[in-house]
Amino acid sequence: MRYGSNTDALSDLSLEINEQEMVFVTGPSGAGKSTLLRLLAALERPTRGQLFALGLNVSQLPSRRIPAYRRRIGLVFQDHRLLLDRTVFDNVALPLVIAGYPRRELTKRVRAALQTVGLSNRETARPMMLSGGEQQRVGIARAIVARPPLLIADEPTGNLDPALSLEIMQLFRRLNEAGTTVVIASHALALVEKMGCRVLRLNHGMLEGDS
Amino acid sequence: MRLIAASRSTFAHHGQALISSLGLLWRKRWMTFATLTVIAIALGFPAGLQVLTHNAERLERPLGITPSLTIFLKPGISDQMATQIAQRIHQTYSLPITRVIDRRQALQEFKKWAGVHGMLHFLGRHPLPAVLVFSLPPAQQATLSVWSTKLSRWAGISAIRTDVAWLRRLAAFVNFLGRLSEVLYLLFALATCLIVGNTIRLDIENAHTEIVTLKLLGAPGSFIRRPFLYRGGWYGLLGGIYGFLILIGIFSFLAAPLSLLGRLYDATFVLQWPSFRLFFTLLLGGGLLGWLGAAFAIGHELKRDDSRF
Repeated sequence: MRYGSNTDALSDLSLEINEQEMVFVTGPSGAGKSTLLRLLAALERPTRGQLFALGLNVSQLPSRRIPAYRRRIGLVFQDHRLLLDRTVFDNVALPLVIAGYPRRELTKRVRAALQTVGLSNRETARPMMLSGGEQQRVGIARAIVARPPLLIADEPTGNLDPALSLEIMQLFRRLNEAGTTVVIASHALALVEKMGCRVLRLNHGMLEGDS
Repeated sequence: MRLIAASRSTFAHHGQALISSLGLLWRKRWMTFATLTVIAIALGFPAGLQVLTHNAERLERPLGITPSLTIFLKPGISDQMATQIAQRIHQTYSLPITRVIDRRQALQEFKKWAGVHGMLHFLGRHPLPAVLVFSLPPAQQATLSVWSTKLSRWAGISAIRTDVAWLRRLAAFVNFLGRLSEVLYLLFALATCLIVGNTIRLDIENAHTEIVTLKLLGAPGSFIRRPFLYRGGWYGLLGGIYGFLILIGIFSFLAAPLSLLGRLYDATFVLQWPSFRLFFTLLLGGGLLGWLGAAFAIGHELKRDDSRF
């Protein structure tokens, strides 16, 4: 992946993530963590090279097929990207509305997702009324509500204190145990080590370590 | 784009977008009201002009009235000569004689006008010529100017007057009004498109975060476009209905003076109100223009949006 004319955000990167694996991507700022995740979510296209995911050549996916691909991925953002004028329920329901689920099925799934993240009692709250950790959990509920096979999280604990961060990571662990492939970018090294998963270390756009 | 209901079928999502976009207009009702008023005026103005034109067109062909030719004879012409001249004109130009007003009758008719009695007395002698009135069949109207010039040179004829002239002026004016309303329809249709487009563009800008989020969650372009398209359609449709209501209001206010004006030209004149057909034209035309305006704005904005990813 290349930005501008000279600098490659990622180069000479070759790796494979197995199904139902949980992988952390770490490295200092500007190492290319986000770029890797954005490529995986088809938010960017690689200038060179190939990227395969969910049985598709993502690097050559036509624009019109990107939405359908993205519906098979759960995305969690550092700033959670919730719609502030909607209730927690409506926010979580969004992927199902896009996919066209009938009302009854939608309600059932939204409730299940909220239960998974422990926010069953906040259905009608607005995101602004929630704490940072709760907001992030709503974001995760939204990412998993359509039960995607792949979950991508970019610095999901970036704005949270260590206790809350651990709680969120354990939530990801539970989702992974339920069969979801999870890819998380994080620079919280101590926390990452505590999780004991595979860690991809990036530096200057290159893979420095894979353990 | 509120989540009222969701369904597996696209049809249901269309229905949902249709209703929820209306709900959104209601939640922002003051802004909606302002936008709708502008659209209503833009659609109602040319429509109103069109209705006026229709009314004027009916005057152009007043029922049961044929234009007439009035020939004033020279004052010295006797009544007997007047009748002879009338016969000759009738034979030469095959014009049906409507009336020969001899000098005595002319004086009597003239006396009906208030205040002229004293004036006549002052003049001392009978000042009025005999008058011949012919009706003008359409065939003769076309060549009127040619033969009326010849006729005016006849001995004993003083002046020729015809009401064909005002009918022609009216026809020309009505023709002009018709064209004007067509041009205005075109201009105001464009204006409606742009007003809706601009409103939708602002709506899209306000919904920027939402659109970005929806795209990240894998919403296809059609899903993102749909509520804005329906919103545009609603703006146009409601604006059309509103414009028609304004038109009815204005017509109620103007009905009396307009009817009077019409009857001055033609006693049988009955004011024609904006029709149901016009109502549906405004409603559907407005809806279509709103939809188009929105489609234009969305295409433009979403393309711009895409480049940010």
